[in-house]
Amino acid sequence: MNLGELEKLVLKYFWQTDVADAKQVYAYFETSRGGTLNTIQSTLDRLFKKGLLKRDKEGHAFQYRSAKPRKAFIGDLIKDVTQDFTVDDEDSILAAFASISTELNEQQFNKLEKLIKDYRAVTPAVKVG
Amino acid sequence: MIVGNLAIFFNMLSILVLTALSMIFVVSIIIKFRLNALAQYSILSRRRALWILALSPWIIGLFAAILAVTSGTQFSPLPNSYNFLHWHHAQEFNFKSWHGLSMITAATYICLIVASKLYRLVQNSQQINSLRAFSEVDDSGFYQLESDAATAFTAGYVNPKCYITSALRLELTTDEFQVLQLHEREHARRSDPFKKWFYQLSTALFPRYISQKLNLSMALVMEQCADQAIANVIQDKSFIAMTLLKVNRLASRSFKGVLNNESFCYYAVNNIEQRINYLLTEQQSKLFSLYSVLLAVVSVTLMCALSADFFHHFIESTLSH
Repeated sequence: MNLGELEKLVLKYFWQTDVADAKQVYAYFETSRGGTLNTIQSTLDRLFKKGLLKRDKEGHAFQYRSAKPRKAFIGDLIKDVTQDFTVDDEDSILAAFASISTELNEQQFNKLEKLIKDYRAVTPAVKVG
Repeated sequence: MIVGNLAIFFNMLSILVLTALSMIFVVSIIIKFRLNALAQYSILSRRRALWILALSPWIIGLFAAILAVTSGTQFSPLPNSYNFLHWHHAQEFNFKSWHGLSMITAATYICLIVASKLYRLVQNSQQINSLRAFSEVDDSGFYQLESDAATAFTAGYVNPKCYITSALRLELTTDEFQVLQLHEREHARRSDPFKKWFYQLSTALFPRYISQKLNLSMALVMEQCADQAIANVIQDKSFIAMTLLKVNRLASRSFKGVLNNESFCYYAVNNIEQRINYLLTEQQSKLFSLYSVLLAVVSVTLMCALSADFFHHFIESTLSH
């Protein structure tokens, strides 16, 4: 998902604030960032269309709130990036300490663990750190 | 018809493309049957060999094109080579000839591949930028991501950064985190994400099965190089292996049911097993002989230049009779 700078800032704002309308968001950013109410309104609309904000109409104005908590949103973003490089392994373009796989079962992990323990049993201990 | 320097350029491009495609065919056969023989060499030698295998069609193609087109001129690196090696009408090029058509087809296909790889690079960079915007830098310079999924990786093409999730950080002891830091920092130091992307681009014209084999081998070697960087600092290899296993176990649990398994399960099992085995066993230190590699490149280049000339004669005489 591609997010603009202001979109990221507005999202962060909604993770700290439960509900707000465009005027309240504008008032918050007016001093620190400047810009116009129109810019804020279109940013809120884009975030709503991307499914990152929810909104309910109260009177003439929309009341916005975050669609996902921060942790869940970042988790999804990580999945987007990692899924992008693991669905087709040939196209992996990140470098990771752990290969992200669900196919290594406990039995395979245990087999590898035994291999390491056997190595430890015959190799003199070395202090770490 | 184009005449002059531009024609020389297009003729060279035509030879380059034909030679590179022929070399890709030859190298693919070698890889299909002999890639496993690389296992006996050190990781540094394997890394170099994989780069040579991927780039050799283009390097040899370029040399062959220079040799063929400059033959008989003052610019030729081989004086008196015109008797056995020459390129007719080097100063003339016609887009409606078989040269022109083959070159346009190949150039279009190559441009499409490059464009799709560039698009992927930009798309991935944007995703990583978003990740960075929502992360916080810790004392060690790692970008912490608040998430329940346990994972760590290095990402970014110009100035790669190391990321770790809060879930993984909580599970690691100080010593285990040191192992992970050394590993990821080595990836960042070597600019591995960009090199991985460039390697994929270099192997994109190989048959899919072969390019997959090459890319997986390169990914494994890059991981092993980063593992080696840890082993240079921390002597207890079993501790490094145990940490590797622990992090893989945690990552595997976090992503259960999320990813498509079919295409990468074998790689993942094989990858971790090979990395742990490599860490714990007597490491291979056999090196490639630089002279053998140079000799092979020079002889293959000459063969390609001669074959290009022969192929050219064969096609032209077939078409004109």
